[in-house]
Amino acid sequence: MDADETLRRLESLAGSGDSTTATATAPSSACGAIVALMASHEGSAAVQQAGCAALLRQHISHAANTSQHDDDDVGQVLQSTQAMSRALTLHVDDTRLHETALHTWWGLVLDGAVVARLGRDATVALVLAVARAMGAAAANSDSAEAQRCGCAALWHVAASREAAVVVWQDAAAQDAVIGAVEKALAAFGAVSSDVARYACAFLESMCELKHVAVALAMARPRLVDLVVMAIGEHATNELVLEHATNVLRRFATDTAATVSVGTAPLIRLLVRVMRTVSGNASVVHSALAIVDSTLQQRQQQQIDPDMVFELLQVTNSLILFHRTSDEVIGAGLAVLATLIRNNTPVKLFTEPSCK
Amino acid sequence: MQIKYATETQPSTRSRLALVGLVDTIRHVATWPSIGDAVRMQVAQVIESMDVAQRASTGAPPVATSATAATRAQRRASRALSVYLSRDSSSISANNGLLTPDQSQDQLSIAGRSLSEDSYTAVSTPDSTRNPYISAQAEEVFAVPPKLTLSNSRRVAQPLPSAATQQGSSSSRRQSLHLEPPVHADFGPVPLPPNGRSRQPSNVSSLSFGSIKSGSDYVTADSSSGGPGYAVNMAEADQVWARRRSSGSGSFQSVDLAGARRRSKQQQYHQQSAMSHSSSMVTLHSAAISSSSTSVINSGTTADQGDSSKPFDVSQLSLAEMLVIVCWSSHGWIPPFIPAAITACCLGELLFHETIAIAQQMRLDGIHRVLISKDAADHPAIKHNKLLRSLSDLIEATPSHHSFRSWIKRLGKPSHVRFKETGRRKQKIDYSFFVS
Repeated sequence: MDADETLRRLESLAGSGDSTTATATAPSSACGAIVALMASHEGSAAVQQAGCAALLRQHISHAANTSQHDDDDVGQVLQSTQAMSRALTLHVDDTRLHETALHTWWGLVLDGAVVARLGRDATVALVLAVARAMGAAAANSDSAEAQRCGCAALWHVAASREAAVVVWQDAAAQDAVIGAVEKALAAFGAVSSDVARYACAFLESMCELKHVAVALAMARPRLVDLVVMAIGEHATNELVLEHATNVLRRFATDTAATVSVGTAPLIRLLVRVMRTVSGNASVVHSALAIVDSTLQQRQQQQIDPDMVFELLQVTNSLILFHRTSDEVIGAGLAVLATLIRNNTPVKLFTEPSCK
Repeated sequence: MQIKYATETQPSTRSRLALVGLVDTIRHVATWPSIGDAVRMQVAQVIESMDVAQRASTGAPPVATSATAATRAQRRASRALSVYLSRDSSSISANNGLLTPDQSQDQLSIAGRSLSEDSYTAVSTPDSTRNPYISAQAEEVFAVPPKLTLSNSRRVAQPLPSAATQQGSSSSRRQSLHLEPPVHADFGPVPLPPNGRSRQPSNVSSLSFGSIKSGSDYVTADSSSGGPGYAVNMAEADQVWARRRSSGSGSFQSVDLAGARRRSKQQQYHQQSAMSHSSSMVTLHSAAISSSSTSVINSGTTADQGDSSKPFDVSQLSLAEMLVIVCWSSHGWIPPFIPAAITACCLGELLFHETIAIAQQMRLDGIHRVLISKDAADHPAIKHNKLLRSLSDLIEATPSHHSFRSWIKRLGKPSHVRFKETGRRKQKIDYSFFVS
C-alpha cells in the first residue's frame, strides 16, 4: 500500500471511526492496525497526522460503545502514545501534526476511569510525551492550539488522583509537566482563555495533593504570578476564574507564597473579580480567602481608604447575595476580622469626620 | 443643582460608611436561619472584635469577657446603632448612626450612613448664644430604632460646652461638634412603653408638629402649651421614641413618623424646604412626600442656583435617589421616571451588587417599605423580578400598597420575602404627638 492509499485509508478511518475496516475488532487490535499503517509510512507527515486523527476517532468510537474498561484500553493508550511520540520525533517541525497529536492525547485521557488504570509507567510515559510535544510546538509555532490541547490533556490526567500522585512522585515527569504548563501559561495564558483555564485547572488538581501547593510556590514562584496574571487577563471569564482563584487561594492560604504584585493592585484586582462574577460562589469564596490571606500576610502595609471602602462594600454585598453559602459568609467575616486585627476599623472610627 | 453622591465623599468617610453597613449586615447574618453554627460563632466573634475595636477607638474600657460575651457583644452591637447628632440652624436631632468621640482630638467623630453628606455631618448654629439650648437637646433628645430602649438613669450624652461649637456661616453649615467629655451611645435597660398610642397616659396633651427642618431627616415638635421642643428622626421607619427635654422624669413621647409624613399640614413645609435646601437627598424626600404635582418636582432645584423653574435632571440622579423617592411616596404616587431608573438597574448599568448595596443602605436608613405603582410594576424591565429580589433580599418589604401586594402575588412571592404586618396597620392611626 503506497503512501497515498494509506493516507486515504487513515482519513477514512478518522472520518468513520469504523476500526473494523482495519481488520481487527478489539480496541487494541484496531489501534494496532492504525499504528501499523502509520509505521508503514513514517516519513509522511500527512500519514502521521491522519493516523493521529484516526487513533482519536477510534478511541472515541470505542469509548462510546463500552462502559467497561480493561487492560485492552490501557494498551490502546500506550500504543497510541508510542506511535504519536515517534511521529513527533520524526516530524519535530510540523506544527499541525503536534496539534493533532496533542488533541488525540486529550481525547485518550478524557475518561478518568481509563487514566486511573494506566499505572505508573504508562502515566509517566504519557505525560512526558505530552509535555515534550507541548514544548516542541511552542518552539515552532505561536499558535495556542497545541498548548490548549496539551494543558487540557494534562489536566485530565491530574484530575485522576492516582495519576496525579504518580506524576508528582516521578521527578522527571513532575519537572516536565509543571514546566510545560508554566511555559504555556506564560506564553499563551494572556491571549488564550482556554490555555489559562486548562493550565489553572491542572494546577488546581495538582494542588489538591498534600504539600504540592507549598512545594510549587517555593520551587516555581513564577507560577503564582502567572496565575494572578491569568485572573487579571480573564477577570470576566468564570471558567478561568473558577480554577485560577482556587489555585491562588491554595497558594495564598496553604503557603506563604509571595506574589510580586503589590497588595493594593492584587486586592483591587480581586475586588474587580468579585464585582464581575459576584454570583459565582466558588470564585467569590476563593477571592475573599485570598484577600484575607493577603491582608494577614501584609498587615504592615498601609491600605488606602479607597481600597478599604471597595473591599467593605463588596464584602457586604456578597454576604447578602450569598446568604445561603456559609463558605462565602465565613470568608467575608474572615476579611472583616482581619481588618479588625489590622486595626483598620479603629482607624476608620478615629479619623476626623468628613467635612 | 449640585448633587452629591456618596462616591464623591472622602475615601475615609466612604470607608466608614461601608464599614457601618458591613457591621450591620453581620448583625443580620446572625439572625439568618440558614447559616451554620460555625458561621454563627464567627459572627459573634467578629461583632465582639468590632465592639472592642470601637471601644478602643473611643477610649472606653474594654469589655469583660465571659461565657456569654458573644451574646452580650451582639446585644451591644445592636444597641450601638445609637445616635449621631445633626444640627441645623436651630436644633439638634439624634439620628441613627454611630457616635464616636475622638478623645485625642477632643472632637466628635460621626459615622453616619446616608447617601448624603448632610446626614452624617454635624452642622453648627449661626448663633453661638444658642449653644446651651443645643447642648440640652444634645443631651436629652434621642431617636432610637423601634424596640430599643433608652435609659433615664444612665446617660447617654453629656452637655455640650457652651463655647465648644465652631461657628459656621449659612453657606457652610457642616462643622464638627466639639464635646467634652466624650459622648457614649450606650443605652440602658429601662424599657419604653411598647406603643405610645395604644397606651395613652391619662394626662396626654397633644402637640402639633412644629416643622420639618431642612437639612436633615427629622421632625421637630413643639408643645402647644409652649413646652419644650423635640427632634425626632424622620428616617426611622415606623416609630421613634424621644425623651422629653429637661423633664428628668423619664417620661417619653412617641411619634408616628409615617403618620407625620401623611399630614397634609406638613406638605406645605415640605415644599418650602425642598425649595431652599441644598441637600439633594432631603430635597428629593420632601418633593416626593409633598405632592405629585410637577411643580414640586421643579422645586428640586435649589435656591443656591437661583433657578426654581429648572427641573431635576433625572439622568443625573442615582438609582438610590430615585428609589428613595419611591419609598417615601406614601401616597402611592410614583414619579414617571422611576421605571427608567429601575431599567438602569436591570440592564446592568448598575451592577447587581451595587443595587444590593443601595437597597441595604435604604434599609439602614430606616426605609422598610417599597411602594411600586401598577404602572411601574408592569414595566417590562422589572417584570422579571430582578428589582424585587434585590430589594426584598434586604428590605423587609411591607405590603402597604395594594398594587405592590398584587404585583408580588402576580410574580410569585420569593420564599425569602417576608411580609411584616404591624399592629399599627390594623388600627386606626392617630398621627398626634403625645406628651405624658
